[in-house]
Amino acid sequence: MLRFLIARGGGAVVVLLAKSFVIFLLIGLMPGDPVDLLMNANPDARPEDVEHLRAIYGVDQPVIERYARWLGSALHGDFGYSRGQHRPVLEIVLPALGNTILLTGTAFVLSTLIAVALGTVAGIRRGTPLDRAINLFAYAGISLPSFWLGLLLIYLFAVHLGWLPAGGMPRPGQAQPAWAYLVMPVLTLVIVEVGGLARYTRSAVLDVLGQDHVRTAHAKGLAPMRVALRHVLRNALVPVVTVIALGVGHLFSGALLVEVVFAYRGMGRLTLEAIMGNDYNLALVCLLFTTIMIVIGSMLADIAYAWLDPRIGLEGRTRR
Amino acid sequence: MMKYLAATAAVLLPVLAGGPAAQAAPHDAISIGIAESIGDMNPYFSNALVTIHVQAAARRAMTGITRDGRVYCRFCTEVPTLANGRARIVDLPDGKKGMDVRYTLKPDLKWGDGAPFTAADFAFAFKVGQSMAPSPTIAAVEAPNPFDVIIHIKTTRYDFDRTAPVAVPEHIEGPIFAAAANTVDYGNHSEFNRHPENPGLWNGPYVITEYRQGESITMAPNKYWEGEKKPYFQKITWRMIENTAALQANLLSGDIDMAGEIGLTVDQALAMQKTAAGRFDIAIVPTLGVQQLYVKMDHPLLTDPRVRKAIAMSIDRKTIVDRLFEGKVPVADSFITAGEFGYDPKLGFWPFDPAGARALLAEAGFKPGADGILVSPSGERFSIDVSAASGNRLYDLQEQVMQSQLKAVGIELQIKNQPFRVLLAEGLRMRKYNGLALLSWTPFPDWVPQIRFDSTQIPTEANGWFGNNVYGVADPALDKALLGALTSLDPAPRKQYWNDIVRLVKEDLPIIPLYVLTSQIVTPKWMTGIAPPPLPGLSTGWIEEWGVK
Amino acid sequence: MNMPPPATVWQLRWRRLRADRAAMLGAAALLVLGLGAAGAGVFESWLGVSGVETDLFSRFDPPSAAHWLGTDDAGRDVVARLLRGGGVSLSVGLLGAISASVIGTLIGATAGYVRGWVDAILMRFTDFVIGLPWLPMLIILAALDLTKLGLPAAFVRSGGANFWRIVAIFALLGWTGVARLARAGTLALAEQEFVYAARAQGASPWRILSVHILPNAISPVIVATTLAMGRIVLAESGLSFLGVGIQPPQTSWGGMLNNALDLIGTAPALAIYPGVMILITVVAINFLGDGLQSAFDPGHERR
Repeated sequence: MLRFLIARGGGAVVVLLAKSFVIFLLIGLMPGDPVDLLMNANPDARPEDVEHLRAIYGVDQPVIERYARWLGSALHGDFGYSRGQHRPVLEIVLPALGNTILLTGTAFVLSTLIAVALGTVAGIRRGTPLDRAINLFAYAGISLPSFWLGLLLIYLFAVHLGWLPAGGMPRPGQAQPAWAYLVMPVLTLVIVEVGGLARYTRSAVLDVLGQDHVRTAHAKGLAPMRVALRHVLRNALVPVVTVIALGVGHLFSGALLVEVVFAYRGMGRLTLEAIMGNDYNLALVCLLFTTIMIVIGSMLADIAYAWLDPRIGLEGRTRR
Repeated sequence: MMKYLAATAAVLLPVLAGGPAAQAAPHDAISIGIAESIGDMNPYFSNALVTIHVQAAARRAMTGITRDGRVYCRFCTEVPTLANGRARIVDLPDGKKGMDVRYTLKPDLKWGDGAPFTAADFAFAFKVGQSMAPSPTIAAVEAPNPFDVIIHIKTTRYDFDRTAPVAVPEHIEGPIFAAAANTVDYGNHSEFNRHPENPGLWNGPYVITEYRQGESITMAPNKYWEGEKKPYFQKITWRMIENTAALQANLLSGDIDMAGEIGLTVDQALAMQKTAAGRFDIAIVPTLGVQQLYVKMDHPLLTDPRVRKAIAMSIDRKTIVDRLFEGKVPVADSFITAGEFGYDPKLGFWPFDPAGARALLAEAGFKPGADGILVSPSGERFSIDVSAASGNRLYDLQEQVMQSQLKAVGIELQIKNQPFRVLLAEGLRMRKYNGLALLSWTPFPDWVPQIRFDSTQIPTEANGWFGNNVYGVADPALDKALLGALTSLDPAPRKQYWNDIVRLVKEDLPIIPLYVLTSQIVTPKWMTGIAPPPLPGLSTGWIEEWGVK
Repeated sequence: MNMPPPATVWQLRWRRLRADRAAMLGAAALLVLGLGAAGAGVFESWLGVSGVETDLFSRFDPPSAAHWLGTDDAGRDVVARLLRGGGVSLSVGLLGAISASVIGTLIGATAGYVRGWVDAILMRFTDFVIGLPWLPMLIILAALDLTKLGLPAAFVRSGGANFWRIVAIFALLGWTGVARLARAGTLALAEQEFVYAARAQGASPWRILSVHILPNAISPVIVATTLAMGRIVLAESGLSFLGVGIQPPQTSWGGMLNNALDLIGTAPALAIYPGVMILITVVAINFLGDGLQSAFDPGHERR
C-alpha cells in the first residue's frame, strides 16, 4: 500500500509539474495583463507608472523566468497573492475548495449509490417496464444542460413552491436550515451524472449475469436479489469503478455551471472569475488545485478497484 | 465504500449542524442582490462600480454631488469658493497659475472604531494615491492642524471644490503603508483586504461586520456615524449572484429583498413591471451614462467625416430604444445627457436619414458593389466590425439591429464580440478594434472628457499603449475647448467651451451616442426612501434615508 | 483463422442495427434535425420568414401561420432560428467529434503499433490531457488570442473563425478516449496472424495500419465518436452560458438557451424550445450510439 502510494504520488507530482507549466503558458497566452485593469481604474496613471507596476508584478519578464520564480515560491508553500483582490491566494482558494468538495462529494456519493442501485435493478429486471423507465430517466438526465435544469429547478422549488432557497451558501444564521441550500445544486448534479453511470452499471451487471458462477447460483435456487447482491454487484462494480474514476474530473467541471446558477461559492465559479478577471495567480492555483483533486480522485478509485477485485494488485495491476 | 461514506459524512456534519437561526424582526434587515462579485476593497486599488456601490454605504467622501451638479459638504463645514476665500488663485514658481483650496472638517468626526477622523487622514490618503500614480494636477495635500485640509493644485481648474481625496484611516493603514516594500505589497497587506470587517476603516452610516469573499458582505450601523439621519436597517446583507437570470429568480423567490443598480438588465426590469408589480416597485432611472459606439477614426474606411456621419445617420436610435426598451429609456444626443452643465438641446444629433446617408456616401465616392455592399473610391469593400463584450444579450441584440440597419445603406457590419478583458486589453487599449465598438461610459457630473478626446491621449506603441483616446480623434479646436473647459473658472466661458466640445464631437464623430444608460432598481413594496441616484451605483450614498413604509 | 470479407461483417451489423428500434428512432430524429438545419434557407423562403434579419416591430409575436412558434426578442422566426442554431450545434458536435476521433485514432494506433517508448510517451500525454479540468481549459482556449498563435489576421476576422475555434477546442481536448480505444484495438490486432502475414509479405507499416488494423479496430471508435457528439453539443451550450461559445450573428441552441434565460419571466417558451431540442438531439445520439455498440458487439449487451 505504502509503496503504491509513493509510486503513484511520485508520478502524480511529475504530471502536476508539467500541468502547472502548461496552464501557466496558456493563461499567459490570454490577452491583457493585470496592469490593464488597474490602469483602467486610474485615469491619472502615466506610461511610467504602468511600466513601474509591470515591473512590480514581474510581467515584464520572460515567461520561463516567471514560471521558475512562481514554482520556487510555490514549493515553499507560498502561492502568492491574488492580483484582483490583493489577498493571499490560499485564503481565497481553500474555502472555495472546501465548498466544492462538499458539493461534488455529496453529489458524487449520492449519484454513485443511486446509479449503482438503479443500474443493478435495471440489469436484473432486464426488459421489464421498470428497466425501460430507468433507461429513459438515465437518457434524459445525461441529455440535459445542467445550467438549464438548475434554473428550472429554482423556478419550481424556490419561486413556485417556496420550499427551498433559490441559491447561496449553507451558513449558520440563515432563515433556512443549512442543508436546504445544498439540496438543489446537489440534485442538479445528481440528475445529470446518474444516467451515464446507471447505464454502465446495468451493462456490467448483464455481463456478470451471463457468467457461469452466477448461473450456478441461480441453479442452486438462490433468490434473484440475493444472487444479485452476493455475486453480481461486487463483480459488476469492478469496471464501474474505472468509469467513476474518470468521472471525477467531469464532476468538477459540471459543478462550475451549477455553482454559477446557484451562486455557490466553489472552485468552479472562482476559477471562472479569475480567468475572466485576468487574475493570473489565482486562476493558476485554482486550476492546479482542481487538477490535484482529479489526481487524488483517480488514486482513490485505484484503491477501491484493488479492494473490490483482490486479483488486481496495487503495484501495476499484474499480480495474479 | 463505507469508509468513503463515513469520511464524507464527517465533512458534511459540521456544516449541516448550523441549523435554523433566530430570524430578525420583520423588515429591520434587508438583503440586496448584486450581479457582480467584489474584488479588491481598497479604494485606491479598485474603482469597480460594484465596489463603489456597496462601499458607499460604509464610506463617504469630503463632498458629494447632487444630480444637477451642485457640490455639497459631507465632512466639511462649507464648500470652498473663491468668494468665501477658501479657494485662492496663487502664482506658482514656474510662472503659471495654481490654486490652494482649504476645507475645514466638522468637529468630533470619528472612524467606525471611535478613533478621531482628522485632516491627517486626507493627507495620508493622498500619499497612498501618489504611490500608485502621481496626480497630474494636484501637487500636495496638507494637514496643518487636525481640522484643516489644504489642497495645492498645479493649475486652475473648475472642479477645485471636489478635489479632496477619499480619506484613508492613517491610524490603521499608516504603519502598513510605511512597512510595505511597494504599492502592490501595500495592497496585499492593506487592512481593507486583510480585515474589511475592522470598523475603523469606515466612516459612513454602516460598517462591515462580515466579509465572505465572492459570496456576501454584511453591514451594521456605524455607532460613530456623524450624520443627523441615522440608518433604519439594522442589518444589510449584500449577496453576489452574477447570473442575472438567477438573480431574478432569487428576487421572485424572496431570497433577496431588492436588487439595486448592479442588478437586473433593462428588459428583465421591463418584464418584472408586467409580472411582479404587485410585490415590487420597479424603477428604471436614467443615469449620466451613455451607451455609445466608439469609432476608430483612422480606420481606412472611416477617415472621411462624411462616412462617419453617414453611419450615424443610418442608425435608427429611436426605434431601437422604443422597441427594445418600450421607450422607457431616453435616446442620447451626445456623450453627456440632458440636464448636464455642458448639454445644449439646440445642438442635437444627426437625424436618422438613410437616404441622406446614402447621398453622403455617394458624395464621398462610394459606389454599390456587385453584392449590394458599397465599394470605396480605392476599391475596398465597405465591411467593418463591431465589437462588444461577449455574453451580453442586449449588446448582441443591438449589434444585430445595427447590422440590419447599416446593411440597408450598403455597409457590411461584422459582429466580433470578445470577452471583456480581451476587448479591453487588445481591442481598445491597443486599438485593434476594426471599425466600431459598442461600449458605455458614465461620467461624473460636469466632467470634462480631456482624457477621452485630447489628441495627446491616443494610445500608441511608442507610449506603451497609454491613453483613453482609443478613437484617435486629433482636433486642435477640440483640444483647446477641452483645456478651456477644464481650467477656466468663470461659468460663462466654460459654458461656451463645453458647447464647443459637444459640437466638435458631433462633427468629428469619435463616438456615436445611442441611448442613456438606466439603473434598474427593484425594491420590495414595504420599502421606502430610495431616490433616483445621480450616478449609477450611488443610490447607496443616501442609504441612511432608506426605511419601511 | 478465417476472416470473412469485411462487407459481410458490415452487412450483418447493419441488419442488427436496423432491428434496433431505439437506434433507428435516434437515427431518424438526427436525420430529420440535420435535414431541417440544412434546409433552413428553403424553409425561410417558403414561409417568408427569417432567422437572421431582425425586426424590432414584431418582437415576441405569438405563434401564427407564418411564425409557427412565434418570434424571439429580436423579431426573428423561432423555427427558422432553431433550424439555424441546430445547424451550428450539430456541426460543432459532428466536426468536433470527428476531428477528435481522427486525432485520437492516429495517436492511439501509432502508440499501439509502434509500442516501446513512443507508446509510453503518447500514453502519458493522453493521461495528461485526460486529467485537465476541461471546462476551465475550454474557457481559457475560448478567450485565447488567435493572432498570438500565428494565425493570419484575415482568418481571425472572418465570420467562421469563432466557429472553427470552438470546433478546434473540442478536437484538442476530446481525443483522449478514442486514443485509448484505438490503442487497445491496435495492440490486440497486431498479434493476429493476418497481420503477421501482411508484414511477412513486406507491406509497409502504413499499409498494415490502414488496410489491416484500422478497419477492424474502428467499431468502438465509431461508437465513441457518436457518443462524443452528444457530449459536445451539451458542452457547447455550457460555453454559451458562460458567454464564450458561438458568437452572434451565428447562434447555437446553447446560445439561444442562454439568451432566453433572462427572459424566462416574459417568454418562458423561448427557453423551453432550445432546451428540448438539445434534449432530443442528445437522447437521439445516445440511442444511436448504444445501438451501434450492440450492433458491433452483439455479445456485449443483450437488450
